[in-house]
Amino acid sequence: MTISNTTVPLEWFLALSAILFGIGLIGVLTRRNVLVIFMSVELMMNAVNLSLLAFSRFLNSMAGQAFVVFVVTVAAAEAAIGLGLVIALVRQKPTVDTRDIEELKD
Amino acid sequence: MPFDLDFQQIVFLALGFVAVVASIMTIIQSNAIYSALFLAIAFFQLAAIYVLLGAEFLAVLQVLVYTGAILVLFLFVVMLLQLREGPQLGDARRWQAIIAWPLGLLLAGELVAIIFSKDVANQMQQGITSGAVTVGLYTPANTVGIGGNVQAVGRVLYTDYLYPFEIASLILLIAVIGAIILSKQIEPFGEEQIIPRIGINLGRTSIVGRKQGEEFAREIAPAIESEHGPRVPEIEKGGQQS
Repeated sequence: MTISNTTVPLEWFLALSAILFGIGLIGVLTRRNVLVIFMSVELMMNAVNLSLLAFSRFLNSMAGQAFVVFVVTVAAAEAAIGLGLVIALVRQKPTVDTRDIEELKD
Repeated sequence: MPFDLDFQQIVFLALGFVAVVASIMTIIQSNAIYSALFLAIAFFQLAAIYVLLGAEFLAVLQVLVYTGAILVLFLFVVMLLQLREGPQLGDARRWQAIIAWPLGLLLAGELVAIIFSKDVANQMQQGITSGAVTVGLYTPANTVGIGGNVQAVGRVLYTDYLYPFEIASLILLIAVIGAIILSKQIEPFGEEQIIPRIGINLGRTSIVGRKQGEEFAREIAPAIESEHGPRVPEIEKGGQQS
């Protein structure tokens, strides 16, 4: 008896999720544009969502889907706050380069 | 049989390939607008994969919230700020870029290796047959039986996860208030009205900056004025003309 009618194996979804997470991590570590760093964080969140949904599907549980709803909520809140911060930051100092944002250094 | 692929698997591989390529393009594009557009492509692919996983509601949510709201917000901000010269990938902090690429690829490779070596699906199947892993009631047939994916998500969300759901609404409320406060232009008033006229632009800075400005207005500016004459004759704050 199979527990799901998806013919794609679970490992494939998890592997894609891991690859996307790695790409997002590289983006966070290498980019210096604050906005692109935010986009990479969103990409990592999507990778996590994918693995949650894959497990949800293969365990016949709706808990994963409910969790994804919450992750999307938090991502929306994070984007709103983060972009508000970026706008406030650019008003202070017209740059989105993380090297130039060092007001908290001293 | 490695090349014995059925239709769903071919669709998944195509979607996954485009998603990975679009994600890589997102992080190597120097222009932030192109990054956002490539990220939109990746999100659309993920939405299609969610449909493949039987999560139709979340596929719609992905398109509406992620691409429709969050990425459009990103594009708004990128175009609003108009900072065209995007920083190139790793042209400064070169050591960080040099370390980050192998580390990120190593992490992804490790995860993939673990996923395939542990044979997750088989272990899960064994756990299910031995009773160690509980399987939910929402089989595809049951989900169809109660009306579909949206109904199933709604049932779980409004019964088991009711409190988290309410907390999520609170998070959104806080985010709205925070975004408004953060991006609001604070009207100058009181001391802050005077400080910019003295000549330092401390109109809206941190509390520390504002305190420095007060100190400047109280001690340093009178000293300058007593030496060089009144720079700003129209200051009408008591005790500052001395």
